[in-house]
Amino acid sequence: MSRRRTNIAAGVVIVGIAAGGALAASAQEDRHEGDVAAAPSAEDLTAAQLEAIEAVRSDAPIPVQDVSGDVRGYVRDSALTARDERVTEQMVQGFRERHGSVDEEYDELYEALRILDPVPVVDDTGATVGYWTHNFKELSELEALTPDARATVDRLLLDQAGE
Amino acid sequence: MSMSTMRRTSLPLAAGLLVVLLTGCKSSQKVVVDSVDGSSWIKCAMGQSYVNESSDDDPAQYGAVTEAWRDYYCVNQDTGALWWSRLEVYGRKYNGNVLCDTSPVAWTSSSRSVSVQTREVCASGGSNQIWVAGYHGASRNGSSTIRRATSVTPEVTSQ
Repeated sequence: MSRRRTNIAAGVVIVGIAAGGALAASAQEDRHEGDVAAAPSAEDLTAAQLEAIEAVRSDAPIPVQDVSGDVRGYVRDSALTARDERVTEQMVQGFRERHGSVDEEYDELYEALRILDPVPVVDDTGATVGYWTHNFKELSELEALTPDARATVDRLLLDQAGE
Repeated sequence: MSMSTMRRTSLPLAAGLLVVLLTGCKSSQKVVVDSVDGSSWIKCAMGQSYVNESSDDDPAQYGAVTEAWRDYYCVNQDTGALWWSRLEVYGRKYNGNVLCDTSPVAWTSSSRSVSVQTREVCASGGSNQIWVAGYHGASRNGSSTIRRATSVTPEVTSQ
C-alpha cells in the first residue's frame, strides 16, 4: 500500500506541474499524440481479442455465451450500445449516478432497466433464441424477470424521483 | 495520512482518473493478474494529455473479488483543467472472442473518477482467455456528443 501512496503522490505532483504547462509537452513525447485513448496496438493483442474488437468495429455479429459457457447466438454492437445509451439516459434523467467502486443499488437498477429493454440474441437464421441484459437470458427467463424489474424501477428510480 | 485522505487531497489537483476493475470468478477462485504488468488499461479521454500513471497495485482480495488497480492522470491539453461535464465508463467481459458479460454504464457529473466492475463467472472450471474491453466516454458542457475510447486488459487466467 505504501507503494501506491508514493505513486499517487508522485502523480499529483506531476499533474500539478503539468497543469502549469511545464510537463505536458514532454509527457506527450512518450505517448501517442493527444493521448486520445487509441485502441491498443495489434501486437499487444491475442487473436481472440483482435477478432472481438473487429466485430465491434465493423458491427458484425458478436458471439455470446450463456452461463454454462455455451455459445447461444449473436448480438451486434450497435444494438448493445443503443440499448445501453437509452438505459443510461434514464439514469441521467433520474439523477442516479454511480457512487464509489461498489454501488449495488445502481447495478440492480441498471440491470432492471436492461431487462425491460432487452437486446434479442439471434441464431444463424436470424431467429430470436434469447435476450441480452447484462448477460444471456433464456426467453422464458426474461419473461419471469420482467415483473420484478418493473418493481425495481418503480422503487429505485420513479418513486425516488417523485420524492 | 490515510489512503482515503490522500485520495481526497489529491483529487482537486488530479484532473482525471478513470479506473476499470477486472474482477470475476468465484469466491474460492483466484484471478491471476500479474500479467497486467507493463500494460496500459486506461488512457486519457479525448482532448486530454497523459501526464503520469501509477504502477499496478498488488492484487487485493475483497470478499469474492480480486482486484488490481492502475491509475492514470490526465489534464486538459490547453488549460490543464477539467473540461468534461460527464464521464462514463463500462466494460465488456469476454471468454476468448465470445461475449460473456456487459457491465452497467457508470456515469458521473460530479466526481473526477468513475469505476465499474464485471463479476460474471465466464468459465466455470477456469480459462486463460478472460479479458475485458473498457469503454470510456466524456462529454462537454452543453454538448450531446460523447467522445469515446477503448482500452483492453490482457488476458488473465481464472482457476
